[in-house]
Amino acid sequence: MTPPAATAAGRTLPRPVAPRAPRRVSGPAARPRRGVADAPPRTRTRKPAAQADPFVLRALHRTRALSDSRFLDRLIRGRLWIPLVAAGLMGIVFMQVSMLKLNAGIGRAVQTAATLERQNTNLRAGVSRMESGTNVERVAHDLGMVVPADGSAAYVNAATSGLATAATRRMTAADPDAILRSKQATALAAGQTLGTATTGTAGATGATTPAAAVTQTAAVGTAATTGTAPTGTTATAPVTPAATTGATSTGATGTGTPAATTGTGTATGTPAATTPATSTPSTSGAATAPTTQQQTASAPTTASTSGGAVAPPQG
Amino acid sequence: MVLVERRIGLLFAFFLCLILLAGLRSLQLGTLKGGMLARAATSQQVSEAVVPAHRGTIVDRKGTELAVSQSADDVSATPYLVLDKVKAAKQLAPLLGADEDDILRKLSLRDTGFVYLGHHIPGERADKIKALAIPGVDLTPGQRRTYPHDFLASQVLGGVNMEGKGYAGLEYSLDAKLHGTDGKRRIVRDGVGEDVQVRDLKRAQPGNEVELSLDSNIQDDVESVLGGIGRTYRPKGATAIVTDPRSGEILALANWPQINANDPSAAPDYARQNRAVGITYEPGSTFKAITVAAALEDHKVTPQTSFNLPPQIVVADRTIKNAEDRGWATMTTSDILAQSDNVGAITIGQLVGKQRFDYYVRKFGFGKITGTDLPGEEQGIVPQLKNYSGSSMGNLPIGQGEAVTPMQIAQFYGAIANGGILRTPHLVRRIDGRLQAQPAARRIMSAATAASLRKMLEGVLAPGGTASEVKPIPGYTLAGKTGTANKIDPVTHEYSQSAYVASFVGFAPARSPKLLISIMVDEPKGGIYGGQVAAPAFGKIAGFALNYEKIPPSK
Repeated sequence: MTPPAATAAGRTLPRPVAPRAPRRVSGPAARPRRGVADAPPRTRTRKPAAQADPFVLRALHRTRALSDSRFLDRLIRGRLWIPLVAAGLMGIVFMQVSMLKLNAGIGRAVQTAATLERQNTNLRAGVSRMESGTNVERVAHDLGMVVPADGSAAYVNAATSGLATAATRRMTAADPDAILRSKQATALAAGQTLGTATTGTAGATGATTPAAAVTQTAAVGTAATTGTAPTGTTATAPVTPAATTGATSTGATGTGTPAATTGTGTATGTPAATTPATSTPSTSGAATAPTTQQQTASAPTTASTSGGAVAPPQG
Repeated sequence: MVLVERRIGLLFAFFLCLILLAGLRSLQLGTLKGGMLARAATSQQVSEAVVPAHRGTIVDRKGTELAVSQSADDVSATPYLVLDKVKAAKQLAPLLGADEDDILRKLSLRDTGFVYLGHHIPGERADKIKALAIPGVDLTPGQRRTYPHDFLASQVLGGVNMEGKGYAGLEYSLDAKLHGTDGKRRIVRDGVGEDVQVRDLKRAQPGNEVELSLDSNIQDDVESVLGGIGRTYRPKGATAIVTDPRSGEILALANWPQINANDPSAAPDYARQNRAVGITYEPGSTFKAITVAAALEDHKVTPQTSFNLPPQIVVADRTIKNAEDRGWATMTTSDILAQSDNVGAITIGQLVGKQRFDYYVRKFGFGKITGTDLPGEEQGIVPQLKNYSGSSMGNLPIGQGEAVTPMQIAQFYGAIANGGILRTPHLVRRIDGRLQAQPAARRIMSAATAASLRKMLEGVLAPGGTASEVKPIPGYTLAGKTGTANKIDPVTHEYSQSAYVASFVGFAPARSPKLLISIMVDEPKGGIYGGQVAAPAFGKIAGFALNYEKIPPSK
C-alpha cells in the first residue's frame, strides 16, 4: 500500500529537503556509471527557494494535495453547482443590463443637465437684459415717471430741525396731467425721430434734450435754449403756440414733427429765446452766450491772419 | 420506427446545415468584413464631442452682468444625406431666421459634403431643430456671447469671434481668463441612437468671472451725456472717462458714436475703436497744468506769482499770442491757468527751461503707455529733448507739439486729485472673486504742489475762468481745466483752422476729490471750445455721479 505521500507531506512541518532517491524504472538494471559511486555528492552553490522560504513550500504542497481532496471532489460533483452557475449567469446578464440602463440613464442625465444649463444661461441673459438701464427707464417712463432735472436732487442738512418735516410736506403725488404730457411728448419725440432720421439731421432728441434736436444751422440758438431751460425733460411745452413758431422757423422742416423740437424753448417762458431762432440764429443777440462762442470760435482764423502771430485757441 | 428515426435524422441534418450556414456567415462577418464593420460601428455608435467651456461672465462693480454666454449651436448639413431638401428648407428657415431659398440653395450644393446653415443658433431654437431629426442636418454645440445692455460700454467690452475667442476690448485682453478649457466627451450609442455610455474624457473648465470697476449706472449716464454732445455738435468722435482718483478705478469709460455690442459689424471701423486709449491728440490747454506743475515743483513760481504779460510773445521764429487779443496784462499763475493764457503759460514754461520741462513731462507719465488693462493703448508722442527746435518751448508748454491719449490726461489729473500720487487707471477689479493686484502707485509731485494746483483749477470754473459756463452743483466745489487744440490738417500738415479737439478734465469735490471726469470731443461742429463743448458735459456727469455715489457736499 502506497502511503498518501502528498497528504502526509501536506501535514508535515517543513523539514530540510533530503536528496531524492533515484526513480525506479523497469528493465534491466543499468550499469553504474564509472566513478559515480565514488564521486562525492554534488553540492549546490545556491540554496533552493523552498529551503529558503518554508511558506512557499507549504503552499506548494497544499496545492498538490488539492487535487486529491475529497471535499473538493464532493463539491465539484455535487448538484448544487447547477443552480449556482445558473444564478451566476443570470446575475451577469442582469448586471450587464443594469449597466446598460445605468449608462443610458447617465446619458439622459447629461443631456438633461446640458438642457438645463442652456435654459439657465438663457434665463440669466434675459434677466440681465431686463435689468438694463434702457429697459428700466422705458418701464419707468411707462409708469409715468420722469427724469429729474440736473441739479434738482440735493442733500439736506439732517441736523437742521424742520427740514425733514418740510420735505415730507412738499412730497406730492404724481401729477396725472404731467404724466399725460410726458407720454404725449414721448410720442411726439418718437415721431420726430422717425422724421429726422430720413433727413439726416440730429434726431431722437425732442423729448429729452430738445435743444439738441435743433439742426446744426441753429446750433447757437440751441445752446442758449439748453442753458436756460434744463427742464426740457418734462417736455411740457409743445402745446404752446410759441414753440410752434420757433420751431417752424428754425428750419427743422421736413422732420414732420417740429413742435417737440422747440418744446424747451417755450418751457423757459422767455419768448426771446425763441425769437432769435426765428430770425438768424447764428447772429442772434438774444442768445448771448452762444453768440459769444460763435465769435470766439472764429478767433483763431482771424488771429492767425493778423500780424503773422500764431494764436492757438485758449481752453 | 425506422421512418421516425429517418425524419429525426433529416431534421437534425437540416438544423445542422442551418448552424453551419450561420457559422459561415458569422465567419464572414467576423473575419472577412470584420474590419470594415468594426469601423462602421465605431463611426456610427461611438462619437467624441467637444464640450465647449462656458465663457466667463463680465460683471460691473455691482454685479450687473455686462457680457454673458449662452448655449448656442452651429447648424450644418451634409447635402447629399438630406433626402427631402424642399421640406427640410421649409422646416429650418423659420428656426434659423434665414431665407428659405438660401437654405434650399445650400442644401442643393453638389460639390460639397458639408455646409453651414447657421451659426450660434440660440438654445431653444437649436432644440427645435434637433427635434426635427432631419437626416443629414447636424448641430455642433457652442457658445454665443451676448451683451444684455447692447450699447453699454461696447468699445470697452469688445467682442468675441466665431471661434469664441475675444478679438477686441477686454474680451481680447482677458481671453485667457474668460475662455476656460473645452472638454471632451465620448458617447456610445446603441443601434437606435440611444446613449448607452457617456464618459467625460476631459472635463470642461468654465472661464473665470471678471468683475470690472465700471458702474453701469454711471456708464449709462456718461453715454447719455456723450450722446447729447454727439447730437448737438456732431463730432467725429468723443470719449469720456470717469475714475475714482483715490484708487485709480475707472467707473465709466464711454465712447461716441456708440455701437451695439451684439452687432458690431453694423458700425464703422472708427466707431469700434476705444478712443480713450487708442487715439492720440494734441491736448492744448489741458497741458498747461503740466507746465504749471513743473514750475511749482521747481519752485519757479507760486500760485500768487505775478507776471506782467505782453500781448504776444516771440519764441525763436514764432510769435504766439492769445486767441482773444489783449493788451499788456498783469496776471498771477492762478489767473494764467484759470484764463488759459497762452503767453503766460509759455512764460512759465521758459522759466522751467526745456531740460526740466522734458523731465517733468516724462515723469508725469506722458510719452509712454499708462499700463491700464485695456488693449491697444497708444503711448502718445513726446519729442526727445535733442529734437527740440528753437520754438519748441513756444508751443510745448501750451499743449502743442506733443500728443497724448485721453487716458494719460486722466491719469495725470488723477494724480493732482490724489495729492500728487499717480495711480494707473484700471478696470479689472476681481477675477474669479480674487482681487487683482494693481501697479504700484508712485508720487510724481509733492502734496503741496497738488494742493496748489487743485486750488488753482477751481478758478477755471469760477467767474472769469474758461469754464465758467458750467452750471454749479449746489454744495460742491468743482475744479478742472479746459482744452482746445487745433488738429493737424492731413493735407497741408499744418494746424487746421476748422478741425479742433475740445476737452475738459476736472474733479469733484475740488478739495478732496472723489471723482475725476475727463471728456474729449474730436472735431465738434458748431462749437470748438473745451469750455463750451466738453465742460458742460463734465457738469452733468458730476451732478449725477456725486449724488449717485452719495458723496457728501463739501461746502
